[in-house]
Amino acid sequence: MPAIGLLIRHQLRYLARTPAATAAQVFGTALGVASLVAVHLVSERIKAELDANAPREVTHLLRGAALDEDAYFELRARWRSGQFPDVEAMVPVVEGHAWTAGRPRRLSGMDLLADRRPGETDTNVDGGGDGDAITDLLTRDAVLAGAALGFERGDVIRLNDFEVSVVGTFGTTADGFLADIATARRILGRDGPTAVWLRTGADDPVLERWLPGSTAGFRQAGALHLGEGLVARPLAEAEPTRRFALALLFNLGALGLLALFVSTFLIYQSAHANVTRRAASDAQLAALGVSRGTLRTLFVGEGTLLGLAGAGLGVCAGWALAVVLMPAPTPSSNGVSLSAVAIAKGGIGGISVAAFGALAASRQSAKPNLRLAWAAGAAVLLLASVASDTLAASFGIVLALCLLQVAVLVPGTGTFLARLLARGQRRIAITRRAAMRSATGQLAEVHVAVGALSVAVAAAIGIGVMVESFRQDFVGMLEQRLWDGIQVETTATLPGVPASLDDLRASPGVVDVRAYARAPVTINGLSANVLLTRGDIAEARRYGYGAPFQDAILLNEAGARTLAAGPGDAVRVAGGRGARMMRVVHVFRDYGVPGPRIVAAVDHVQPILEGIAYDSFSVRTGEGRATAPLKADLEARFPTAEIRDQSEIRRRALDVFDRTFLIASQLTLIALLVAVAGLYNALSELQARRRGENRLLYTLGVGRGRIASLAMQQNALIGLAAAVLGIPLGLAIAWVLCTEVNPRAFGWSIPWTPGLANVLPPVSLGVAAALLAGLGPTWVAARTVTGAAQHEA
Amino acid sequence: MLRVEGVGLRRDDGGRSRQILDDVFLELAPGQVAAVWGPSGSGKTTLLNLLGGLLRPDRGAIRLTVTTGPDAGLELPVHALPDRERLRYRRRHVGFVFQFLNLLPTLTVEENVLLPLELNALEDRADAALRRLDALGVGSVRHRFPDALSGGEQQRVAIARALAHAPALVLADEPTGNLDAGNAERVADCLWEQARDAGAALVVATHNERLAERADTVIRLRE
Repeated sequence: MPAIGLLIRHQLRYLARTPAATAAQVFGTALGVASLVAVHLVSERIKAELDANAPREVTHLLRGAALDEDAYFELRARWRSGQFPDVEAMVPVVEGHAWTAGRPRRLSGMDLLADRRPGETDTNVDGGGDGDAITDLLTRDAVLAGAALGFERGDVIRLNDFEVSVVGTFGTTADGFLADIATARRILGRDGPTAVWLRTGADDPVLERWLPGSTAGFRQAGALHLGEGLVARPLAEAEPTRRFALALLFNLGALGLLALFVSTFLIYQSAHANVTRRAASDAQLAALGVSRGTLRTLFVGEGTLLGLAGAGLGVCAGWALAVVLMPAPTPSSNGVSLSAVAIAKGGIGGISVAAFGALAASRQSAKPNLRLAWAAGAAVLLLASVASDTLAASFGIVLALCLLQVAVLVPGTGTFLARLLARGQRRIAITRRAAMRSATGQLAEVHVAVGALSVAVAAAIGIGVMVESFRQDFVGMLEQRLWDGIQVETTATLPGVPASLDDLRASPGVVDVRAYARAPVTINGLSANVLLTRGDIAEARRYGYGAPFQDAILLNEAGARTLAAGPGDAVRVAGGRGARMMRVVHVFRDYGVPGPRIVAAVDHVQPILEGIAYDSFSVRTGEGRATAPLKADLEARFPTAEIRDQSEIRRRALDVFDRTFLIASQLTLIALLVAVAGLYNALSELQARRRGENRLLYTLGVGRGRIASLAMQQNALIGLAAAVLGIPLGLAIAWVLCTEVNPRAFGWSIPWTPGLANVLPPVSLGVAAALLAGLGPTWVAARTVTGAAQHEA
Repeated sequence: MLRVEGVGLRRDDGGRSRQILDDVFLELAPGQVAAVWGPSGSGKTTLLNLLGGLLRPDRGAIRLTVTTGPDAGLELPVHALPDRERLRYRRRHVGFVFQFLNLLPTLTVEENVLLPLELNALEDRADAALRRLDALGVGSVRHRFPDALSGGEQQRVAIARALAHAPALVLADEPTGNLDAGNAERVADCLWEQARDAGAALVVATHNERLAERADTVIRLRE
């Protein structure tokens, strides 16, 4: 390429001579990358905490009465002989409660060698920095302590009658212990494993590494039948709270993508402004014989260079943001660490979007009708997405709506407002009339930046409405479902229940005691679970139903969706001793439970079941009643059971919810900041175009202050237009997330409940963002305006 | 009455100080026309900017005495006015006609003409200002936007706007520079006639010798 050195020098000098525009492009890219990296790191961290009690990428959990040491060794032998080709790893686990400092704590012991090499460290474990925590666990009587317990490396504690060393901590909210299986067996006094963790190739670890939480939205793997009485359940089914948290991560990931989407527009707008500013010099170069291809290559090269700078800054900023959002659980432990995947994701995302933005902008300048092509593409995508019922299609709807907003609605509104303001408005001052018409007329020209602001506002509204809708319904469900009191649950049968519970009913402060049993059934041929209850009005109200259901069943939302059944329908429920048609009277929300589940009265279902084994019971206490003594009593009576305070469960569930969505508000701010940077370029361009008009006004006696005021009014009008246009899009995004994305991903819908509190702040922020973005261009416009010398002497 | 006494201006030009104007004298009574003639780069527009209060001279004095209207008898030392007063001087006492970008594109013809009246709170003169549009032959396009007008029509609207607020001084910078000969003649006729009728002193910068010859006084500038 001839004279390429000269051309590159020209390019670099241009960047140096327009520092504000260059900085805006780098800053915008950095913000977009920062949001992407921050979401990734926070998701990685939350997922690591969720995985803290399980080895990496566990997909199935095998539990049950048939699982003893002989059964496990036979199973392992069959696996090693190749009988279960789908199973990649098999880890025996011993679980139970061990007493320390007068309280029982959950202890999980796993065969550390079954899934990792000796000496290999676990990134979830904080072993004080020397990396040998796992080796310690294998060679000494040692445990890892949940970070919430407050122990530190080097502490020596007693678990039951054994003295053990704490060699590290894990999680941030975990309050149990992890140990090697041999240590745990000694402490718990057990022979065989109580569970086996399995990993299959069903989940995609690569995708999960790049988009933490994303696979939670995919169809979950089914149960694995490994032999008589040995059915490994998908982890999602066995641990619904984990799945629920992953669902939150999944939604969060979607929000992170929206922030990147907004920054894509910004980068495009910056690149487009660059193309426009350089039109004259590019025309000169073209006249001198430089080909369009060479100019485009230079432009894309420049975009890539700025993208590289922005991505570097963005990765650092994203890491800093994640550290602020997810502080280290203890002063001695590590907080968020910058992973290679996060760096690669931010780098690739920032550079490719910047390069693509530059390429698209240079092509757009050559083909102004590209906007129509984008609009047509978005319309096709919308139609195709609406016609499909896949998860990808529901995201397609959001993408198409955003594209239509930018390509059609914003410029169309500009044209409409320009026509509306073209006549009349005699009550508005003429100078203001001119400014308003100028702003609306040019809205179509800077539609990408205004559209980006509009999408940012919409994202903020959509996120706010979705999170608030989710929270309202979730809180409502927790209030209904979790009575004040204690929940006792075990993986096996609770001995003597329900007969042994009679004395509990007479305990002071106890209002009611209810025993529950679970049993596997099929509904219309599909594998499901039934929860056996009394079926009275009190039980009905826990599921949002207002009448006893002694001769009918309640079906969860995932089941209703899968079975296409609703209230009034009859379904065929089959157990070990037969089958019968049962009438569905109510469909209830069941966040966290991926598959079909029914709630029925014991007497109604008992005839088709081989037997009933009660595995949980709840003790309802009076409101505000202290539950600690009762809990301690139950812990002594049922040492192997999980005993939880219902209000503690409620608090923890909301804590997971709020911590996960804490980043949502920061994300919306980032999206708006990204839009500010984009809008800065667009408004600079607008004010540059208005230079002639400003000059004329100044000559006619309009002062700089008034010119600045008019410019700010223009910015406010543009911001208001973007923000107002963001309202319907935001509500639509929330609606799609609540009623399409979540049902398709998890089987549950979220009631779409928009409120002014979720709409007004983003709209105000949108207008404020436009005013903020316009400060610089306005100052420049007012400062640099000079007299009307049309051709200086 | 406009008096220009020994006005001079130097400007930095690429690190070198250059004398743009030197010892310019002019005395112009209301209704009279002065032409500033010279080749490109001779300082015609700079002189207009000095008269309009957009630039301040290094030396000499510019004084405008208002002879009609509520400010009759007011003498303004344009060269010495503070910034805020110069802005007011420009708004109230000067009308401008340019070669290009005379009119605000987002205002209709009528709104462009009413703009100086609104800026000076003289809305009561709106009828007279709009009648001038008829007199200039552009009354029928008063509701159109500038981009729908021909170059000649735009210049006539600009003349109407320049005179709308009855200024004491009208400054025209190459007002016929982008018009063909026929249109240029007609626009010049309109400008001369309307300025005289309004009792305004008119200063026209031009490199068109024929136009300059029509003036009462000619200031010839050399490069």
